[in-house]
Amino acid sequence: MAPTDNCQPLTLRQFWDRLERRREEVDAAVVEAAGRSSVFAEILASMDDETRQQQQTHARALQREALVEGHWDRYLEDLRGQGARYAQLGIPFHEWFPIVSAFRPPIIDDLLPRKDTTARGVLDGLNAFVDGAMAEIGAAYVDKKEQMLRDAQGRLQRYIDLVAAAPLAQVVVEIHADDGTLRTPVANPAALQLTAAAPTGTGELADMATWLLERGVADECRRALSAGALQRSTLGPALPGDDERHFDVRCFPLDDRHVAVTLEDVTDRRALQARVAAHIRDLERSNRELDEFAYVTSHDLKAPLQDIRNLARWVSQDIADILPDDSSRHLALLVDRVDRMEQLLDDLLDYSRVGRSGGAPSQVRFWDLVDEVVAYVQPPPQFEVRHDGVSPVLKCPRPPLEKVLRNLIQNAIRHHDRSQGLIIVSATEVGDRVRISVTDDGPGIPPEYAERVFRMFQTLRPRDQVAGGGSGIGLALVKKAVESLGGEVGLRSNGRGTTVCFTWPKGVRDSMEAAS
Amino acid sequence: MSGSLVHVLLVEDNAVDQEAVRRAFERHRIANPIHVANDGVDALECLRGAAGRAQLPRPYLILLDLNMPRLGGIDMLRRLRADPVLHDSIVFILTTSRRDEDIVASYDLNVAGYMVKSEVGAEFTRLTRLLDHYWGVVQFP
Repeated sequence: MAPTDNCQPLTLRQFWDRLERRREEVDAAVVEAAGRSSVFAEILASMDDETRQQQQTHARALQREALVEGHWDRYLEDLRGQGARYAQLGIPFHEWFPIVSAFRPPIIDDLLPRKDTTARGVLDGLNAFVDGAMAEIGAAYVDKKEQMLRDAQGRLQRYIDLVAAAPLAQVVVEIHADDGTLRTPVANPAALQLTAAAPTGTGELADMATWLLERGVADECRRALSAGALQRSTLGPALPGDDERHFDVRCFPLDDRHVAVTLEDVTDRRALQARVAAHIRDLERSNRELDEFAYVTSHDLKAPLQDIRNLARWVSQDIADILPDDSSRHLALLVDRVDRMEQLLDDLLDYSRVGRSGGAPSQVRFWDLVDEVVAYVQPPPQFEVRHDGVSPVLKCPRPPLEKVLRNLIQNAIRHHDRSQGLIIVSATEVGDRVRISVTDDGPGIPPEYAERVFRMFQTLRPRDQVAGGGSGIGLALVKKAVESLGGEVGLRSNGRGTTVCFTWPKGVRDSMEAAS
Repeated sequence: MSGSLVHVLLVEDNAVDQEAVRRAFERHRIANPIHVANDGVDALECLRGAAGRAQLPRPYLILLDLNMPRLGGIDMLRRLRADPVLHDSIVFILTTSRRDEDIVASYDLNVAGYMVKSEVGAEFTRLTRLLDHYWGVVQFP
C-alpha cells in the first residue's frame, strides 16, 4: 500500500480507512495512554474484557457515523458526556487529552514511510508542540470558564437589582406556543404595585398575568411576537375601580415566546400637555383680539385725520386770495402734521405686530427680497442700493424681514445730507444665522447717540428737517423684530456713514436633513 | 327713462365726508339733487317716505357708507334687498374700509360698485366722473 501523496489533504473517508487499517494499534495506544493516568488505570482495571470490548465497539460505531456518514451529533454528544463525567471525577483536562490524541501515532505511521526518519523527527517535534499548546488551552478554558461564569452572574445580579429599583413597571411575559396561554415569570416591584392598586389585586406575581389579560395587554404581546417588532399603545383606566392613570405601554419580543413589557405612567405628562394646549389656545385668541384691536384703533384714529386734511384743504381753496402768508403757511403745517400723524399710526400698527409669527415660512432669496424692498421704497434718482457678498436662501416668514430691511433702507435715504448716496446691503452666513448689514455714506451718528436711536420716537434732528417724515419708530421696530427672534442688532458709525447690522435665523435645517 | 335728473341718496354719518361729496358735485357742476341720511335707519325712512320724511323720488341711486351707528351699511342693504318695493335700488358703496369681508359681503348683496374713499381722487373727482357717465348711459329701473 503506497502512502498518500503528502501534498493532498486527506478526505474523511480516507482517514477512516487509515484508522481501520491500524485499528489494533490505535486501540492499544489508547489503552497504554490511559494506563499512564492513575484514575484511568483504575477504571480500566475494573473493567472486564467484555465491557471494554463493548465500549470500543460503541466508540468505533460513533466514529464511523461521524467520519464516513457525516453524522456528527452523536459522536460530539458522546465526547461532551465523557468530558462531563471526567470533570466530575476530578480528572483535569491535560490528563484526559493524551488519551484522546493517542490515535495519532499509528495514523502518522501509515502516512509516512518508516524509513523517513527526518520527516518523522519533525513531525514528532510538531506533535509534541501542538499537544502542549492544546493542553494549556484546554486547561485554561476549563478554569476561565468558571471565572467567566462568575463575572456573568455578577452582571446579571446587578441588572436584576437595577430593574427591581426602577420606577418603570417592567414585566416579562411568556406565551405558550401550543395553547397560547400567558404566564408572567418576571415582574419588578413597580409592576406589582400596579396590580396591588387594582381593586381585586394582591400585588403578587400570580396576579400579574390576570391584570395584563384584563386590560388587553396580552393581545399587544401576541402582536409583538407575530410581528417580531415593538408594539406601542396607550392604556387608560379600563375597569371600574381603576385609578385615573394613563400608561404608555411597550411590548418588545425577546425571543419566539418571551415578550418584555414596560408600562410608563404618563398621566402627569398628559395633564401638562393639556394645560399647554389650553394656554396656546388662550394666547392665540389673545393675539387675534390684539390684532383686531390694533386694526380697528388705527382705523378709527385715522378717520378724523382725513377729515382735518379735507377741511384744511377746503379752507385754503375757498379763501386763497385773502389768506395772509402766515396763515397760508400755518395751514400747510397743519396738513403736514396730519400726514405725520397718519404715518405714526401706520408705524405704531407695524410695531405692535412685530415679534409675532408673521405668517408661514417660505423660501426667501435674499437679493430678491432686497430688490423688492428697493422697488417699494423708490429711492430718489441719485441713490443707489448695491448688493455685496453672498445671497443666502432663508426659510422664514417674509413680511418681518421685509419690514426690517425697508425701515433700514428708508432711514438711510431719509437721513442723508447729500443729493446722492450709496447704500450697501450685505449678508454673511454665520452658523444657523445670517448676519445682515446696511451701510450708508450719510452724515453718520455720533457715538454718544448710538444707543438712543433704537428707542421709540427718538430722532436726532428736528423732524421738520427730515425729508419725508420719519416717526422715530423705525429703529425701535428693527430692534424689536430682531430680538424677538433671538438675534442682536448694532450700529457703527465713525465720523461719516452708518452701518446697522443684525442677525436673523436662517431657518434652513442641517443640509443632511434637508436632503433626506 | 326720461331725461329727469337722478337723485342721489348719500348715506353717511361723517359730516366732513358729506361735505366732501357736496363740494365735489359743486366743483364739477353736477346739478343732481343730493339727499343726506345719517345712518341706515334714516336712509330707509327716506326711501319709504316714513317718519315724516318725503319719499325719495325715482330715479335715484344710493351712495352707501358701511360703518354707521344704529344700522350699518351691510345690514341696511340686506333689508333693502328684502323689500318688495326697494329691492331693485342701485347702490354704490363709498367707504374707508378695504377689508375683504366687506367687499365680498357687498357684492353678495348685488351692489353696482364698491369704492374706497381714499381712492376716488382728490376732490372725489373720479367718483363724480363715474356717476356722471353712469347716469348718462345706463337705464334706471
